[in-house]
Amino acid sequence: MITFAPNTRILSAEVNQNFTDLANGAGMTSNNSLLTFKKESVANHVVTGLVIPTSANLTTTISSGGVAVINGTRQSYSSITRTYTASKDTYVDLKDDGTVTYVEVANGATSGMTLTLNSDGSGALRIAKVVSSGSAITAVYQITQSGSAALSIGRNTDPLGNIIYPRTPRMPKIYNDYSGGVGFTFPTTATDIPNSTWTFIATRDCYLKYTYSGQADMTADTSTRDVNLDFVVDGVQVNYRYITNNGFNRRTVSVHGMVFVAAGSHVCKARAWSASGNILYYRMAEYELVGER
Amino acid sequence: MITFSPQTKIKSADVNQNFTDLSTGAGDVPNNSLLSFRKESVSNHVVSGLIFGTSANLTSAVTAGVAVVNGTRIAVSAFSHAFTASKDTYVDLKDDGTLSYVEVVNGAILGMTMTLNSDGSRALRIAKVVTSGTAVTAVYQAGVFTSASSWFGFDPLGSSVYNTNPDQNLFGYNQKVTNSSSTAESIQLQTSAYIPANTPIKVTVWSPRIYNDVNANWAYSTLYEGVFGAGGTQVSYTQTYHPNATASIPLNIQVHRSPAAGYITYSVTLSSVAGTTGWIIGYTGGPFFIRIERA
Repeated sequence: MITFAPNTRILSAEVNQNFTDLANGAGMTSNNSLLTFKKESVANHVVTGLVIPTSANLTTTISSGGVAVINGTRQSYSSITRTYTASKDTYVDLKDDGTVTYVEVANGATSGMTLTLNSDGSGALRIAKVVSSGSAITAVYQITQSGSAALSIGRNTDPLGNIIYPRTPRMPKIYNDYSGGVGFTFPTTATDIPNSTWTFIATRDCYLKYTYSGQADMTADTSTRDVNLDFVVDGVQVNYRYITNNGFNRRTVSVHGMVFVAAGSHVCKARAWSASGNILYYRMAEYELVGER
Repeated sequence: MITFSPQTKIKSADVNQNFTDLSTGAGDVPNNSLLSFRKESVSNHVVSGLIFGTSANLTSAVTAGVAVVNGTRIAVSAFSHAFTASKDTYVDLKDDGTLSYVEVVNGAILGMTMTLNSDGSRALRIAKVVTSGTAVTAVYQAGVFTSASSWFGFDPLGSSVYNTNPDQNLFGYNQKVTNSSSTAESIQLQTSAYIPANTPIKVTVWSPRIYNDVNANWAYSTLYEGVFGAGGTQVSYTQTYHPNATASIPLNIQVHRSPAAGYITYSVTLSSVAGTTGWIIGYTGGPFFIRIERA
């Protein structure tokens, strides 16, 4: 912002510069800067659009009109057409300068999809995982895509824990859910329940709220059998539930809890076991994790 | 904002004043005011830093940081503070950038009243600092869930400590990692919270097990809005009846409420059939907890 001295001619160019600085925010004090507020207190998110269609060949187009907020900066996009590399999983990252970065790994890879960084070192916004065969785009994983396989397996993050296509500027910063039936024969030692292991990155210190519920089905076994269920964060048991059938061959169980996690990458999972080694089944009905900053 | 009249000389000082008012936001109408938006719609929160260190003496070093208090962005330089011996001191950051230190005796559960800003709104509580006679022995800020402390992010009055959420959803939490037992109805766990105006909430109570230690008897747990025995109102209830203790079920109560704005306490009781004992289990790997959150 230019301060004008008394008794001197005020140049129109300088007045225009001040108005421009006010219009784009450059002239705002820190306390009154919308950009600073969004950088510090609002998560990267997709506002609208930026949906990537599958394709019978390797080329697909994102329709124009997409809007996202990245590192506090609002970016709007014209249509984006890209021919993807064959036989790759490609992660699509939007940077705060409006550019798009494509991070390619081998199909099914569980490492190497490092999140792109903005020039100030903050994280870009990951909007999609695009899977290609030798000749086509066979799948696109974005949270809000109806019918996406990403939903059915309850994975809203890449294997490194970066959330894909967050739609909310509000918290949760991290989120995962699973709902569906899982047939699971209980082993004698603590074993991961299918679809319950999840890696996530907490962008800041937060509370991790978790819940899972299901039914321990001991089939026709009416004698006393035990079932153990627990919840583990970074290898540490944070909750545990023990039940026994005592003549009831089916019992429902739910586990709720909350744990503090520091900023960074974490792995959580639900486990089950039956020390007596009986043939028991656990049918998971719901599994949800919500991170609250 | 200064409005200029036609056919008169415009003073550079007036032009400067208008630009300054737009730059700081003082000239913004309420609908376009970032300050008003944050005051009215964004909770007080820590953006970064403001971490207090423990110390072998009574002086704690504090890292530089940024917070938003009553809508105002406050940047704080690194500083040190000498705390009073043998006190629990709650540190509050006001919207004018000043810090208030609210001292109570070690372990007190009353008296840590939240500091208010000049307009009557609440300051931001950023730490609880515990001193012995000679040292700063503990600091409770982010990360308290790893502590054995039972207040976990909130002071005993229900004010959050070191909140980093601009859209605060979690209002109150408390847990026990020891077992509870009772025959006559009595409070086993409670927490307080400060509820903003017009804010529906959800209260969750959970424990790995509730049971009666005598076969084929009942155990009861009740959730009260307010303090049981002191005007509290029953809002939910559960009972369990099983052949024996190992056939117990989890305690799982979830209710939605719409209390008036201000402080409120929720209490959980346990009781059982006369001559028997009811149990609610809690331990480090499976806490008995109560949580109050935005619905």
